[in-house]
Amino acid sequence: MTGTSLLPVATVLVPALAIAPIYGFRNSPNRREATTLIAALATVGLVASLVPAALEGRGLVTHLGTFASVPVAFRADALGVLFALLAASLWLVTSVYSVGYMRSLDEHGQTRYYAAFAASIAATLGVAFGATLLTLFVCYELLTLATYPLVTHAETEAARRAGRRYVLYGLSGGVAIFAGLVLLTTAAGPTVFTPGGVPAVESLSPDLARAVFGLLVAGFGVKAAVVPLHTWLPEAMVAPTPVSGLLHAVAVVKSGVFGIARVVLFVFGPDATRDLGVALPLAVVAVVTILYTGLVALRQDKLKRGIAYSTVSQLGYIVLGLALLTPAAVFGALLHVVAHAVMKLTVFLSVGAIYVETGREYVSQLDGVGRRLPLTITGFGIAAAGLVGMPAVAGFVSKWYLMLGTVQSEYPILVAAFLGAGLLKLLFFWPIVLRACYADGDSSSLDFVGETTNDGGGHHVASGHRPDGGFEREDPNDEGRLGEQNGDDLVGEQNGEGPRSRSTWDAETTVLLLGPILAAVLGAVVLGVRPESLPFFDLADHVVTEVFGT
Amino acid sequence: MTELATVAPPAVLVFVAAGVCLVVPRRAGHAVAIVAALATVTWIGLLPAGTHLGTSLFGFDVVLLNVDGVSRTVGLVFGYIAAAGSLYAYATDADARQATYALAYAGSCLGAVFAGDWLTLVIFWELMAVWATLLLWHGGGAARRAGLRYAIYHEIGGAFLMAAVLLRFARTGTFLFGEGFGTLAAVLAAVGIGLNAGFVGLHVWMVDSYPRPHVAASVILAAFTTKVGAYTLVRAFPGGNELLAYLGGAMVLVGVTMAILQVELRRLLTYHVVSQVGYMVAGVGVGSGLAVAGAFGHLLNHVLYKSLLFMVAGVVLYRTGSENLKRLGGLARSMPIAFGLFLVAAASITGVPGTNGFVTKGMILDGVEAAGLDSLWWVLTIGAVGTVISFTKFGYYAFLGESPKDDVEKESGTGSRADQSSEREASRASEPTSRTDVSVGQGLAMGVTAGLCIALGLVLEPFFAILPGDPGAAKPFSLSQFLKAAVLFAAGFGAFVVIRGSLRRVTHAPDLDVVLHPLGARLTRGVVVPTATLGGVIGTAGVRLAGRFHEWSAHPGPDRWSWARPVGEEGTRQSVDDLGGKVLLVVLGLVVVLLVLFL
Repeated sequence: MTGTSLLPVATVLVPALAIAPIYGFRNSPNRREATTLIAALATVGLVASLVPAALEGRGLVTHLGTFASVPVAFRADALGVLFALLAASLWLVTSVYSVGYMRSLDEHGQTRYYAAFAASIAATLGVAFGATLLTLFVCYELLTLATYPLVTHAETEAARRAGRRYVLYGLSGGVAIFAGLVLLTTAAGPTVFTPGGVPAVESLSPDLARAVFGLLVAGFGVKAAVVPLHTWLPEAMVAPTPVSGLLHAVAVVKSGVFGIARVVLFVFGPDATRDLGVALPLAVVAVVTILYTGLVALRQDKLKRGIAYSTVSQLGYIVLGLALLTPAAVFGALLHVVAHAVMKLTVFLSVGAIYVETGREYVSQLDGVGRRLPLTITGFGIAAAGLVGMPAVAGFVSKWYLMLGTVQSEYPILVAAFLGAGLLKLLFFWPIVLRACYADGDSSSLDFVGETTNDGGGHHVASGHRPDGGFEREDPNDEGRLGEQNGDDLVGEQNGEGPRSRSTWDAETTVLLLGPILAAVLGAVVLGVRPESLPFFDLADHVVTEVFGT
Repeated sequence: MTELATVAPPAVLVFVAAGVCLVVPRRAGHAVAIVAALATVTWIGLLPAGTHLGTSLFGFDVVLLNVDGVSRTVGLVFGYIAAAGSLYAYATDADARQATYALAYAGSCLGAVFAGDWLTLVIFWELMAVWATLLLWHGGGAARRAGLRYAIYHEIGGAFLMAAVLLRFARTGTFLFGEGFGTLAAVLAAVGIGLNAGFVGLHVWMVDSYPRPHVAASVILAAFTTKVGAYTLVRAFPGGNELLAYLGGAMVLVGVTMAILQVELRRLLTYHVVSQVGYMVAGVGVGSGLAVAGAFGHLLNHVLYKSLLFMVAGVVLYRTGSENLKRLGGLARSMPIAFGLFLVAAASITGVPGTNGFVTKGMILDGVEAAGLDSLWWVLTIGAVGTVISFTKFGYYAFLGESPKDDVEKESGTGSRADQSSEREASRASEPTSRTDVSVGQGLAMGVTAGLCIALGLVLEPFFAILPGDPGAAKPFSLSQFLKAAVLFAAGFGAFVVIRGSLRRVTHAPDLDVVLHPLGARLTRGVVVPTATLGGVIGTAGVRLAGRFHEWSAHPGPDRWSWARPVGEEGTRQSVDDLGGKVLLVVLGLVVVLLVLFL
């Protein structure tokens, strides 16, 4: 089952090794960016090379000795390779995008940005390949720290506030995990991830086991943005959009659900989880997460905040799938880790491109954006359709398996949560697409939920939105950017230049921004039409086989 | 040749054409659309019965192409109307993007109809809603909100159907057609499919959306979704279902009653869609060979004559700028070709002998009678009388009588603001006062369709050859059919004369949407706003609580960490920093210890 190799730890270290050169090249941006891109390519290559072994069940292991008689090791098993491959390939996509984004906006602190990004990915890979709970925990905490500079990148008051809350939540979650880890190790010996559960766990007293489960899941649940531990995520949206996209839709939040998956499938195992009776409470929490944040998202005018709530809701899908403990549901959950990541990244990249090209951040400002950025909005629309659960995009396949697993589980009624969530996503995304593509100055008639004020003439931004957390909108002067009427300044200077010809495909925005968007959308469609053609499908299948023994 | 035909489902060609329309100009796009659609008809005609193209779709066994009498009948007429509709769209100034959406929509419907398993069907079912939504959005104006509502209705309906299909899989282990639904699943499926078919109570989305967009879009929309619904009912309830038959009867009655009360042409026709699909649902519900043959023959015929009717309404709107019966009149003189085509279509829908509607309506009624459902038979017959009344009204007020003195002036108070804007949107007429007749393109599309209506009323053998069930049991030209028709028309004309006066006073007949839509909006707001507010309150309370705890547990003092806020700022934040800093230090210390220990 194991073969010793240096590849796993090498894969984890490659992004980390890029940090020094990035700082070294801080005065030559092109070499600095090249370092990131080379590191990303190398990482993808290394992870890809680990896929065949993982699929055969020969997850390669690097042993790094022991700490307090707990082994420290990295293993590239199927679940780990699935997550690592996702993170690495999307890092490559996002790195290209970052170049375009940061340079278009002429952002400060780019060296710190790229270095922190590399560190974050290294930590993510460490989480993915951690073969013991201790290894995973250490990398998990490093991830929180590595992403802090990215959250506070803007260095504004709001960014610092968000960063403080982010670290506070993350490290508090880490404390919970650590407590659970210590309890578990003391009571049941070293926790090495074993498909179907660590055998020693069965010998624990039920109350102790439940306490450990609760601590671990709560700890991982912070990053997984389980309600009520989720409020850091909408506020972390102050970060630059590539950060929001890769870290807060792919790496960080998926580390949280990954941790929960490890706990449920590889520490306790499906049978123990069911026997302890902790599956149902977890499922209930997940359902509340799905529906509550799905509803709150409808109230948001700031685009990225609304998408953040949508992310929390979709993470709930994954947690629910894991909690239901049927092979199909778990398979769907793992597929959704991938599907959601690709689709949500596309959404964030599109939103970022909109911001770069038009400066707009609020839903109520989006009228007519589709005419200015047709390909971007098309990508956004396709990804949004997938998030709603429309076929031909990745989200349908994972959601289908999730629902199938739910119907086959002990609580088939919970399928209503998925179906209801689909409606909520539709209520969130469709008006945005409609506004962007087909609004013509009378946007008030398209307001659907919540926005009831109409300032008669000109656009309006609904005021007084108080998403939970009581956060105020950062810059009340944002509206000034648009000028009098929407639609005027979309296509050229306001001196009456007139619409530029949009006949060339890269005329709407730079290829550095558009390319990654289209690549991500293509990935989402491939995953929706023929998911077996990418390794994720087989990897997830292998995990399910390993864990359930079927 | 036939071997080649079975290589892929025919929908593929339509989708490819849709993609082409994205990048070519208007004329080329529509030409491609027409050619592709006609080629699809040919392709479907060539498919051998019993073709079964099985494959695997993300881990499940599916059948992408399943050819039998039912799917072939529906597929043929879908392909035809995609062609005729595209020609009509070109002739009414639709742009290439509309052709894309219309073709993708038609392709999705074809995909659903030729699916041999529930997973494929569900996939295309959802895609249908996406393309129809885009088609509505493209129509601009009031059609955009209607499109959003359409999407919502169909998402809900789709959810019911998906739940039913998944429950069935949990019980049977397959998505392939064959076994039926369990009780709960059957109810869920009926609701889900019934939304698409337009069951009474689940039909409001149709009336909300069909009359609003471009006239050619109305033609396309009215032709497809409801028929896919009726088709899917026979897959879900293959042996029939008595309750279903009565539901069909309800559709017939409610549809035709509401239709009689309408003054806007496309709204009137949309209610007739409900009514006529009711005949199909009744036939499927009866389930006998004759009834099913009648139902699907009626489906084919309905697509033909209803599309023709929508096209007529469209040219009326196109030429006169109005589709309100209170502002039309005398069009028989100024638009004689349109009038003639209208007569053919009206004859078909009411069931004049010699038209296709006469044949298949008779088959359904005979099937119902043979099954012993007498009350249903009366319901369907009364519905037929109502249809006569309704189309007499249509023809009388639009085509006969005096033309309004000045049709540029809008009368105050008639029609809603939404109608007027939709009329402006939908009519591409250069000047409302020019009363020329149908154009060449429009005439061709409509003429061929009208010709088919007559042909399929007279030459029945090839028609019966493709129908499913037992069309041979039909007696289309027996004396009793003629007698029934005669009585029907007499009753209908007579009733129209009697109620004509009271009908004239009806300007606006509201439907469930005046209740459902504000209710939906209020419900959404009523759920979302309190939830978000509650969450905000809890969140703020939590932050304050945490702050107080930290103040109590930490000892506020001069900060030692440069990155934390200086003393003197709000205590809460400072204490929170303290805790964060302390935790950070603990963990950093841990990491350092770990590194030291094992390196």
